[in-house]
Amino acid sequence: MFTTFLKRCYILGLFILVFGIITACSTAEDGEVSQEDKSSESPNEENGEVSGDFEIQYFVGGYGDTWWKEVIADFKETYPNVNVIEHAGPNINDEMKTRWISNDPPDVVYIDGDGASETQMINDGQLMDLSDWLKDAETDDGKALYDIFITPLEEIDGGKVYSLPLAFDTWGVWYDNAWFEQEGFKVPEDFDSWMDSMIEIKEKSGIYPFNTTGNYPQYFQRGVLYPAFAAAGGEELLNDLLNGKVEAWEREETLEVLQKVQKMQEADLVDPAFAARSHTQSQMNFLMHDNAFIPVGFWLPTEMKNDTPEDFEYGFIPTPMNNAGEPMSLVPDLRPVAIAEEAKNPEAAKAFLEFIFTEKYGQKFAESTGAIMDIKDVDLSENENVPTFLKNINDTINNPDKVVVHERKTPEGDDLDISIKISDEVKKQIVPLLLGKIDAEEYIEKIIAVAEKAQK
Amino acid sequence: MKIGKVISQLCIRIPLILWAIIVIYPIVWMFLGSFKSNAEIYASPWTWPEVFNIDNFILAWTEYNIGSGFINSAIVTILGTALCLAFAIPTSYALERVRFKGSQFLFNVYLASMMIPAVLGWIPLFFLLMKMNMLDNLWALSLVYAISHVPFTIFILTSFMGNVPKELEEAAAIDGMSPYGVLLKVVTPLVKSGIITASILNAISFWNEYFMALILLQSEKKNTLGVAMDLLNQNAEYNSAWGALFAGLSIAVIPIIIIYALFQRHIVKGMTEGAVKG
Amino acid sequence: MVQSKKQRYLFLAFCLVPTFVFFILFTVYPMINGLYLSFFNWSGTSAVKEFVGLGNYKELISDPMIPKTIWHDYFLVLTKLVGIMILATFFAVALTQLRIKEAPIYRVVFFFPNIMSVVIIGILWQFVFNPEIGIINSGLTMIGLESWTRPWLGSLEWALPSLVLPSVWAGIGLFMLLLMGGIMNIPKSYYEAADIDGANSWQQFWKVTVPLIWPQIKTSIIYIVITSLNGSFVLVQIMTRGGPSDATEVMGSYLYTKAFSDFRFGYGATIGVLILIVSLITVILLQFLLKREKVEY
Repeated sequence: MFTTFLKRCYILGLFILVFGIITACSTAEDGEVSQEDKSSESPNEENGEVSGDFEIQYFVGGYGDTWWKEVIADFKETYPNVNVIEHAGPNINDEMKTRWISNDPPDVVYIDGDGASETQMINDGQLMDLSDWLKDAETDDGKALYDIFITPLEEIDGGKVYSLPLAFDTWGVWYDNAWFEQEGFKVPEDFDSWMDSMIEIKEKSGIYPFNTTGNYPQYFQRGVLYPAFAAAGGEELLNDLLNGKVEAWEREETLEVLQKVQKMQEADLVDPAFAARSHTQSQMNFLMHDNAFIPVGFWLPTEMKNDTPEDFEYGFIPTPMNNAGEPMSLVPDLRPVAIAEEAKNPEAAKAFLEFIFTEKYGQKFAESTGAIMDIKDVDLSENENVPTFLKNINDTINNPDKVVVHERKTPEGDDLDISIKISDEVKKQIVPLLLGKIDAEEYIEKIIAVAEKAQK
Repeated sequence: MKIGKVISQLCIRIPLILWAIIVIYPIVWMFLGSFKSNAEIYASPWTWPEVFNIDNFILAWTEYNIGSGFINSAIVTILGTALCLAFAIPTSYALERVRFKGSQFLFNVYLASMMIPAVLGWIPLFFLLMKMNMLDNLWALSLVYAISHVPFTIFILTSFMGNVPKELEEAAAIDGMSPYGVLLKVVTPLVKSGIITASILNAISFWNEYFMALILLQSEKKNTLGVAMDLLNQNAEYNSAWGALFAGLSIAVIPIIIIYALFQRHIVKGMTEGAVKG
Repeated sequence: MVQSKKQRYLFLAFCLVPTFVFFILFTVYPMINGLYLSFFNWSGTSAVKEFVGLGNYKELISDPMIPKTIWHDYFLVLTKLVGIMILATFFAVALTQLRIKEAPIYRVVFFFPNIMSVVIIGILWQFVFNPEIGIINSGLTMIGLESWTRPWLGSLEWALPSLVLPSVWAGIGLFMLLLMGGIMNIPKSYYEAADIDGANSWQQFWKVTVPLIWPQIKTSIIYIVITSLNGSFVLVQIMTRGGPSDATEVMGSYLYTKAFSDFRFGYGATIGVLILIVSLITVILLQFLLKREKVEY
C-alpha cells in the first residue's frame, strides 16, 4: 500500500511540477500582454484623472513611518480611484532589490537607508528624468515645484533631474543639555574646546566621553569626517577626497583632520567597545550617560523616544572639528524621492509628488520626524508640535558666521566607481583608527593605495 | 579503587554538564529576555523578569509575520524533502543497481557537484527564475532546495542500496514484478533508514536555509522563518526593541522544541543507525 | 531480470531523466553561467554587461582583501574542525561506553542546536557576546575574571575567534550522533579481547575505537570542511557582516558585499570561482591526507 502510494506521489509530483512550470511560463506571457494593454489604453492622460494601482517604496528608519502613513491616507482621500500599495520597512531596500533588477519597480521610491544608492540607480537608468515635467509642475498649494527646494536641485548630464530632495537632514554631535548644565560641562565650539570638554568629563565622571557605532562606520564617516574635511578645506577638498583624488589625500589639511581623530583616541576618550555596537545600542549607552557625545543625524530624538529618560534634553551642535576661530561645517544629507523609469503609473507618481511637497506636509514632517523637509517657506517657529531642539538647530544653521553649509556632490561616470571604492576603504579603516591600531599617516596611506589602484 | 572511580566519573561528568549549560543557558536567557523591558535587559542578564509581561510576544507576533514565516518554512522544508526523495531514489537505484554505460560517470558528476559552492550559482539562478516568472514562489524555492540536495541524497542512498541483497530483486522479478515495482515495493522499503537519515539532514538544512530564501523570495507574506527573523532583527535594531526580538526568537524556537521533544527518539535513532550503515 | 531492451531504456529514462534535467537547469546551468559572468563588468541592475576578459581575475589577484578572506575562512574551518571533532568524539565515547545513567539527556540536549535556524543562532549569539547585556561578559565578571571581559565582536583581534564558539555550538550534535552510531556498532568482543590483553581505556580508545570508527570520522571531517568553506559566511553575515573593519570578512561575505552592496556582480562571480577552486583543492588534499593516515587494524 505504502509503496503504491509513493509511486503515485512521485508521478503526481512530477506532473504537478511540469504543469506548474508550463502554467508559470504561460502566465508570464499573459502578464506581459496585459501590461501592454494597460499602457495602450492609458486613460489617465486624456481626462487628467489619476487612477489604478500605485506602488510606493519607502524606507522606515529613524524617522518612523508616521508621516508616510498620514500623507498616504490623505492622498487616498484626494484620489479615491488610486489603489496605493505600500512597500515599507527598515529592510525594504533589500526586499525590493529583486523587483528593481527584474524591471518591475514600484512607481515612487524614497531613497534612504542601508542598501539604497541614488547614484547607482541613476547610473543604471532606473530613475525617470523629471526635468521636462518640472518645467511647469505645480505643487498642490500652487507653487512652482522646481523652485521650492532649500538646496537647489542637482542637475546631471546637462540638465537632467532624477530626484527631488525630500528630507533635509544633517549630521552633528549630540549631548544632554540638562546634564551638561547640571554638571557644568562646556558645549564645545571648535576642536580644542571639544577636547578640553571631553577631558574634563572623563576626569569628573570617569566615562568615555565619545561613542559611535562600529557596526555602521558610516556614522563616523558622515558625522565626523565629512564635516571635518569640509571645515578644513571647504567643499572642494571634501569632494576631491571622496572622489579619490590622490593630491587631496596628500594635503596637509587632510592629515591634520585625521590627526585630530588620532588625538581623541590617544587621549583615551573613545569608548573602547564602540566597534561591538549597532547604532541603537551606542545611542542607548549615550542616553544612559555612559557617554557624553555621539555623532548622529537629526532623527536621533525620534528614533530613541521610547528609551529617552524624562530629564534628558537633546542638544545638537555641528561637529566641532574646526580649528579655533573658524566656522563649523555642516554637510547636509538629502534623502530624495524619485519616480522609476519603468513606473507603471507615472501619472499617479507625479500627482503624488505634487501632493506631498506642500507647506502642510512640510510642517507635519518636522512634527513627526524631527527633521526638516527640504522646502522653503515652512515657518516652524509658530508650530508648537515641532520639538525645541529642531527650532534651535534651525537658528544655528542660519548663522553663517558660526556655521557654513557644504555639499557633497553626486559623483558621475568613472568618479562613481572610484568613490564607491574610496568610501568602502574610508569606512573600513575607521575602526582600526579609532582603536589606535593605525595612526593618521597609515590611514591616509591605505586610502591612497586604493585611490591609486582605482584610478588605473 | 572506588575513590578513583568516583574521580574519573567526575572528570567525565564535568565537561558534559558544562557543555549542557553552554547549550541550554543562552536559550533560557533568550526566553527570560523575551519577558523583560529594555531597562531590565540592560540591568542584568541573570535576573528573572519582574513581571511576566507578554507584550513583547504580541508585538513580535502581530508586527513581524512570524506566524506566516513559520508556516512557509514548514512548507518548503516538507516539500523540499519530499521532492528531493522523489528525484533521488530512482536515480540512486539506477546508478547502483541497473548498471549501464556511463553510470559511474554520471555518479561522479553528481558527486563532484557537491563540492561546488552554491554561492557561485545564486546570481544566475535568480535571473533564471526571474525569466521563468518563478520568483517569490515557495514551490520554486522548494524545487531549488530539493535539487541542491539531490547529489548528497544520491550519495547516501546508493551506499544503502549497495547493501540490499540482489536475490530479493531477482525473486521479485521472477514473480513477474516490473522494475518499477521492484524499485518501489522492494528496494525503497529496504533502504528506509537511509531515506530517514538523508531526509533528516536535508530537512535540517532546508529549515535553516536563509540566503537563497532572501534572494529568491520577495514579498513579506512569502518569507521563510529565517528571513522573517532577520527582518525582525533589523527592525529591533532601529526600534531598540530587544524584548520583542527575544520574544520573536522564542516564538520561532518553541515549536521546534515541541517537535523535537516528540520526535527526538526517531531523529536520534535515524541518525545513529544511518551512520552505521552509511 | 528478463526484460526487453526498450523496457529497460524506458525504466532507465524514468529513473534518470527527470532528475538530470532539473539538475542541469538548477545546478549546472547557474554554475556555468556564474563562470561566464566572471568575465564581465556588470552592476546587476543595468541592461549592459561590459566584457572585460580576465580583468576581474587580474583584480582578484591584486586585491589585498582576498588573502585575508582566505585566511579567515581557513581559520574558521580549522578551529571549528578541531573543536567539533575533539568534543564530539569525547562526548560520543562518554555517552556510549562509560555507563552514564543520564546519557540520553545529554544526547538530546547536545543535538538540539542542530535543528535551530542558523539565523536564530546568529542573532542569539550576537547578544550573548554583547558587551553590555550579553552573558559572556557579565558571567566573567561574576566569577571574578573581569579583566577577561572585552567587546568580543567589536574587537579586531577577538571577533574572528568569537565566531568559533557558536559554530561549534551549532554543529557538534550531528557529528556526535554519527560517531556514536559507529561506536555502538563495534562488537563488544573487541573490547573484551583488549581487556584480556591488559589495555587500559585510553589504549582501547586509540587501538580499537578510533580505527573502527575511522570511516565516520573521515566523513565528518570532509563534511565539516565542505560545509564551512561554502557556508560559514552565513553566520558571519548575520553576526558581524564582516566587521569590525574587515576582521571577520570571509570569501562568501566578501562576495555578497561586492555583488549586492557594491553592485559588482561580475567581480562577485569571480570570487565565487575562487571559492570553488579553494574548496576543490582543500577537499582533494584532505582526501589524500586522510588516506595516508588510515590506521591499519
